[in-house]
Amino acid sequence: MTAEFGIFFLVLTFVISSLGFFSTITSGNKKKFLTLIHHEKISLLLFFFTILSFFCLTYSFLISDFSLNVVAKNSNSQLPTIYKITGVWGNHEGSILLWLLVMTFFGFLFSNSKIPDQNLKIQTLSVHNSLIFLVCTFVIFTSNPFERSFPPPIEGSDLNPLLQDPGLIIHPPMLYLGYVGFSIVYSISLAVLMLKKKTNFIEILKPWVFMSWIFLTAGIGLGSWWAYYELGWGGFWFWDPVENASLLPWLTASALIHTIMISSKKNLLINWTLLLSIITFLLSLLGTFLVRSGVLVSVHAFASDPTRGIFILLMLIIVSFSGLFYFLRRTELYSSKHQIKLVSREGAISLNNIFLISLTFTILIGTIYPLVSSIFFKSKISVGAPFFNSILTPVMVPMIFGMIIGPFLRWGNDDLLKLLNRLKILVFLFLFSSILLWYVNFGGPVIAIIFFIFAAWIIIASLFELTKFMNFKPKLRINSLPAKYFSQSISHIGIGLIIIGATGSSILKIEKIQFQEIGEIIKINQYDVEFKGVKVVEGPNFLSQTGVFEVSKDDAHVINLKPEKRFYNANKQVTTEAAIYSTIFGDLYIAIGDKNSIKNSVSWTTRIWYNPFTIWIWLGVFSLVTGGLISFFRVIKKKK
Amino acid sequence: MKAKNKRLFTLLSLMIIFFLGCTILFKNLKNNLVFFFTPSEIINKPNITQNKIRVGGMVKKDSVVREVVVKEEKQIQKISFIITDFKEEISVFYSGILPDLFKEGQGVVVEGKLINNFSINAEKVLAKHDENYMPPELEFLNTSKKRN
Repeated sequence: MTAEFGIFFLVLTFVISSLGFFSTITSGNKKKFLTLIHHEKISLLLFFFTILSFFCLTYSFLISDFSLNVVAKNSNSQLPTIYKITGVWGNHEGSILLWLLVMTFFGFLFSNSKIPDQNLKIQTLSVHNSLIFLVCTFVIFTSNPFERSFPPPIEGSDLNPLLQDPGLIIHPPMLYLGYVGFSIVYSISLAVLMLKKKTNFIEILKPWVFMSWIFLTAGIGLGSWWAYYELGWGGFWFWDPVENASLLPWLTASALIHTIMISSKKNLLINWTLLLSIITFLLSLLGTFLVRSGVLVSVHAFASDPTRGIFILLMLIIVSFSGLFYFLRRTELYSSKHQIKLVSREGAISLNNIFLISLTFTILIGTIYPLVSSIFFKSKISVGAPFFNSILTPVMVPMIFGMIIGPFLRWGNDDLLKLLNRLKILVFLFLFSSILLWYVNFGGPVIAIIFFIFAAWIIIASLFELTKFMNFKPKLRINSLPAKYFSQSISHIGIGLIIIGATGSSILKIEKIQFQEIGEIIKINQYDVEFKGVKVVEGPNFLSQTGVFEVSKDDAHVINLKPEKRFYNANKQVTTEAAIYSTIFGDLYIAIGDKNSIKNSVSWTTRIWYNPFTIWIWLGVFSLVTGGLISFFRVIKKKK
Repeated sequence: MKAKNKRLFTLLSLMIIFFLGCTILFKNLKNNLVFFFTPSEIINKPNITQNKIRVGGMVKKDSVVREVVVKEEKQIQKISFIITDFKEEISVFYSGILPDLFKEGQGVVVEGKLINNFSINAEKVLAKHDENYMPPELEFLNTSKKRN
């Protein structure tokens, strides 16, 4: 019965959201189809019914109702309860329902926020409810999670073991909160463009942009952390098409976060802010299309049918055409004759935008080129990681310089010589840190040292910015420090930390793959890794071969590491669980492979990595999120 | 310079930069493309010039051979197996660790350099991550399986 209730609530959502759709279509009419109170009620009801529907699905997973297709394919009665719940979004249908849930939740939040311009609020809600209508149609007609199969199987075929992991509990919802957050950003922007009168919307847009960016950053960070310890490949970023798909809206959103500052402070580049808002949501949708249509080869792809792809493509076309149509119609309303000087804060931010957009464009090309070529040239190709790495470096270098100099430039107009004069101490610190790093030399190629130096410069410059502010006010308390400086510096430091981590764990990594006999010691970096043996451990729904490794350094015991190879009972799948020992200087990473018996001796294939500075990546992501949060709360506080 | 000329100049220089950027981009892209072939395509089209290619098909049953070679006082595992698309076969040589989902009778994609027309030295072996999921490149396996 639960499933019937679930689909019933979904249909209610569908019917109610269609009101929003009609109201958007008829928004040109003088007489409004719905008033503000109607729209607010609609948003509340949509959220209410979607959450009920989502609960129905969760309940079906909890009681292992295998008559539902989705449950039968992605759950199992042996599965631990927590993974029964996360199994809800570990598949296509459930994850799209989650998407819908988040979307209605944000609509509900927006309907409860104070917006001075009533017309803008009405228009935004009606656009957003139309989006909900489109997504809801998609759920009901192409990916109904409540579809039954007859006769129901006795046992489910289990959740993909790779997804049975704590990282997967929060990674998809985080990412979705980010992706879907941009639907509100899009709705506001489109509503602004649809209104004929000029309105003040930047301050309304700001908190949503920050919030979505924070979730997207955290979501990508968590995903890459999961890939690092769960896939057992020892890396954190593989330029997989789906990783790229999440990076694209992140890049444009980062550009948006920077321009929205100019828009709010100087009332400039408002058109550009609007365009970026629209593009960011389009890229979020494109990401969904690439993942869910199964057109790309990727870790994230699910078995899928082509009608879904066509539907999302259609949605993409509707959303992009209406966005760009209104944008082109209304460009004059917000355009400004003011020219931006290159050597100024605005100039630096504009340059940052140009580089971020170029980077987005190139990654987009690299990601969809295989798809285009398979349609038009019938050739099956893939674009390798070297391509992305080769374009990242030349774009990163000017961006790093911008990040260092930009924050010190004055608004309006500035002079490079004067700037140099102001930053004498900083230049000295740069020289000093470069020489120091060159001398310390982590033993890698020159490029690694150069990147370390750049990262050090970013961090020093950001810290310097904070101390410089402290000079103005000798009696400084933390709460008197303007959050603006804080959030910017912390985020930039985050980028610096990520550069250090990425450089360390890609260029300087040490890899050792071997047959290791019991008792054999492998030396890696300063560690001695002794293989103690393998024991069989029984998990709730798997059998694990757990290797025991004793790690010591200078004859002193450090830690015992226990990497596993798990054999899942239900679908006979094998997964590798790496064991990691993290320190500030680097991670010791062990994965265990197959048993080999040759010539009376028994040995195991073991892979041992030393990944320098990997932990700095996660610290960097944390730092970025913290910076974002500070900005977010500042914006919210200011609004009240 | 007049305002109009200045604008034209900026526009032109922006366009030149854009086209230059695109040229570099596509050249770079072209150098990093990895083409995908089926075993039949490799054997029937003997003029594959690409440096690195991908070959996909099914791992032939009972074709996986593991042997250990001692090289520079280190034991190295050499693995060889045969990929088939039910018409032609390609032998694969690989030294490294096979992915968790590598199985005989399952779809696989390998990336590496061709030794000759019927064998390849693999640098990477990619197995799919989900039981039900079949990469679009290997879709032909489903259809040919049904036919057989």
